Amino acid sequence: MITNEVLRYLGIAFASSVLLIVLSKVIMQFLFRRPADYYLKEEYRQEEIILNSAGFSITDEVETNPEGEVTEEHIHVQPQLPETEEKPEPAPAEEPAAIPEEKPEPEPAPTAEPEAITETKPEPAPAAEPVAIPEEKPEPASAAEPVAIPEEKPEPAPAAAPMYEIPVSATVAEPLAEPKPKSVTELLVLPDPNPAPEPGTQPSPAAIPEEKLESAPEAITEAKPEPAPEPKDIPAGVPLTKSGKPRKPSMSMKKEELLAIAEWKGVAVPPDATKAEMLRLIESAE
Amino acid sequence: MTDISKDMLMNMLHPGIIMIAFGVITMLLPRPCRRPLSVVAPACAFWAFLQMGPDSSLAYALTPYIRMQFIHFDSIAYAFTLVFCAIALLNGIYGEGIQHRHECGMSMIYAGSVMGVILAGDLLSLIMFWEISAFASMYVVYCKHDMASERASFRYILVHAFGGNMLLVGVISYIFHYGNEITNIADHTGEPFFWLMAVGVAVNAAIPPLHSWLPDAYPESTATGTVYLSSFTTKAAIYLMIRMFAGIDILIIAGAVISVYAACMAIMENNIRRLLAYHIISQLGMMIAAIGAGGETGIDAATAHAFTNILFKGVLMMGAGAVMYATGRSKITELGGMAKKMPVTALCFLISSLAIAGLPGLSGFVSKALITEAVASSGHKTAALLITAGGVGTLLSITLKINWFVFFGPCVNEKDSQVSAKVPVTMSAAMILGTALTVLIGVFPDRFYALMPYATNAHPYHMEHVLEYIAIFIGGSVPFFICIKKMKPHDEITLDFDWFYRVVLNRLVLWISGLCEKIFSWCDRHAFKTAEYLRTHLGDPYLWTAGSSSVKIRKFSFENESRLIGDVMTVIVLVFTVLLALVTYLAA
Repeated sequence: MITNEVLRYLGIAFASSVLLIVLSKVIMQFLFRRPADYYLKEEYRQEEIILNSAGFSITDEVETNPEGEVTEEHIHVQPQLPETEEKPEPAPAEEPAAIPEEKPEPEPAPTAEPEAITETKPEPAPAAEPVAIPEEKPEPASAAEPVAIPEEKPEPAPAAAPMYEIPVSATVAEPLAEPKPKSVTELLVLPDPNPAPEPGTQPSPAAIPEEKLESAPEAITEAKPEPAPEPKDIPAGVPLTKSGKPRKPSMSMKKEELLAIAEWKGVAVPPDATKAEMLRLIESAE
Repeated sequence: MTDISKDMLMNMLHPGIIMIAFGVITMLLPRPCRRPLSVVAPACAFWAFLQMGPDSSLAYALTPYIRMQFIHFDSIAYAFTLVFCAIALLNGIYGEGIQHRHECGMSMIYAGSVMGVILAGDLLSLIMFWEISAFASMYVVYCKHDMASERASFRYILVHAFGGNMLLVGVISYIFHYGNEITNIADHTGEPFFWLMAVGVAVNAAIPPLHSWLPDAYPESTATGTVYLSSFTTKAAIYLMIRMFAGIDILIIAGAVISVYAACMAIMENNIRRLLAYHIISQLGMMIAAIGAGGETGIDAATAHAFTNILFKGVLMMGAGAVMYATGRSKITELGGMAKKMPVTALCFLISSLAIAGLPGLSGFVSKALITEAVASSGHKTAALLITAGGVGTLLSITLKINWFVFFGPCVNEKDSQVSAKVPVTMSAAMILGTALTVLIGVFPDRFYALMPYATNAHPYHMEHVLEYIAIFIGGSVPFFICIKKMKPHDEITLDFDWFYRVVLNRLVLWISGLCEKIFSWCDRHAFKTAEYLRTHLGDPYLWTAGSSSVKIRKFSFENESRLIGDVMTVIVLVFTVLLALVTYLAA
């Protein structure tokens, strides 16, 4: 009954079974087996790449209780600021830096003034504290008036003093609305920590509300803390840039302006010289 | 006159279109009305099938020269339509009451469109139903509505859109040369449309390396959705292969290799439905080998195995779905000892798994006997040996592995394999009916063979043949029990060809898109820089000389700068004028 053919099939089946088990459970298992979440991780990885390129970052956030046990674990997606975006830096106390867009502060005190401040008050004044008010100035600047640095200031403003005019809003003008100094030695005084707000001014100088910031003119945000030359050094007629610096001589200037620059720099220029010759002379003198 | 009209109407009944119409209606009706439709629709389709005959015809003139023939009812279409109607009815019973509105409707549309493919009398109507079935089946994959099913359905439709388009282009090319009829194109291997159509059909027939959509998508659908999916798409592709590619010699070896490869992958699998999905591929390999053998025996063998496979694979998928429905789990490592908790399911699963392994007395033995005979008669001994090895792989992975580790073996993880939901009576009824059909086919093979296209007269129940199959069972089972510890599944996944498009292709696309983004941003940046440069330098022409390394140029100046600007503007205007004239001249 059991023929050779049947035995042959028995052998074939046995050998096939052994071969299949070895093939699938040893060789293919070694080559093709992966953790159960293999594709899931791969998909997360690819999503992370896509989200990162779109400016988002994925962080695995783990919440723990006071005993240190993990209570909740989830993926948190938070927007990531692009690298190119300028980060606001707080202005140093010594320099009247530009008022940053995000964290604007009131006009900082010039470099010469902190000394007086330290003399009158043991604790150093923060950069946000009001600046000195010249004695000649009878009334504090109103909200609509621009802040102008007076030319007849007894001690010239330091190099860091801003030469541009700041159209001051009520908040920026706030430091000026302080009590007047009593003497020349006390030219720079600290304001009352809790000054009584004068009519028409904002009560709190410490922080500028956001809505005021948004309405503040661009001149504030675009200002650059470049040291301006002393006004007395620059004669009238020399063309100035917006930041108060003398313009670099160029052929686009008028002849009179080039002449003024040459005079200012002490360069002798023949009266019938052309603009090109003037430029050449100025450049050679530099 | 009335009788003639009635006869004409009866001849125009199309089971597929009836199913599609019921599917659309189901999606519009409220729940109490649509519940019975999941059974009524396939029952109506079955009734329509019983009314069909050689005279059945339904045509539509698309243009005066192109006529679409929706019904072409011959012996091959008869066998496939019969089994599709039967499995649609079983699936309707199985899913009655547990399918939601859209899943139920789309399942019917899917089943109807596949019946449309089977009954299509020309290539245009075939491609129309083919595409409908692709999109309807995509929804059936998606209907679980979780992240895995959404992603799997997306990959599924991408692969099927590729295959469908290849087939479409091939069909159009074929129609241009030879007309609209569905014929065997095995003699046209040198023509492009042959390869285009071959790739299109190979995608749906899950022929490696185009097969990985199947184990990727089928396990992600719902319990009922997977049963529908396992029955239709691949078998419709087998039907088309029988029609168009029968007798191509290379298919014998290819099919045999596929059956072994998929069996190996199945042995490694841990997810029951994914394991069964690999077994669909393994069984498809056997059918493809029979198609390659060609001839009457080959076509009958492929048809018979498709027929029996639809039934017992349907029951196996139903069993896996019932386990998932009851426990919420589909991994073998999380299950065990289910026979005590779900005896009906376990019994139906056991009988069907024995059938798929080819135990004498069951349907698998009857159809496999034809396949062995067809391949052996073609003279490919290696292929016959590989098909036997594929059968042993089936025995190892389904009959032994699933039955032992899920149903009849010791319960390793009692806590996880708790039955949390009772299996509905309709589910059990569908499984029992399917199992009964499997047994009936095995007991009455002659009547089954009579349903086949060429009604091959085979006698599988001679003693030597029965003993051969019993020997295969014994020889294949012994190493399993020797290496029972090694056969224990692990909670891991197996990489397949889908790794290429899920990882490699994805990374490549990401890399290319990143590169494009860098190129575009570089162009943007430099375009802006150039525009800014031009803006400043045109506004101040002396800047052109400022950056020069030549002292002579740097010191160059104009007395009258407005004259310089005027000169520049004049040059620009002149250049534009010349260009305009040139363009006008060329255009003329």
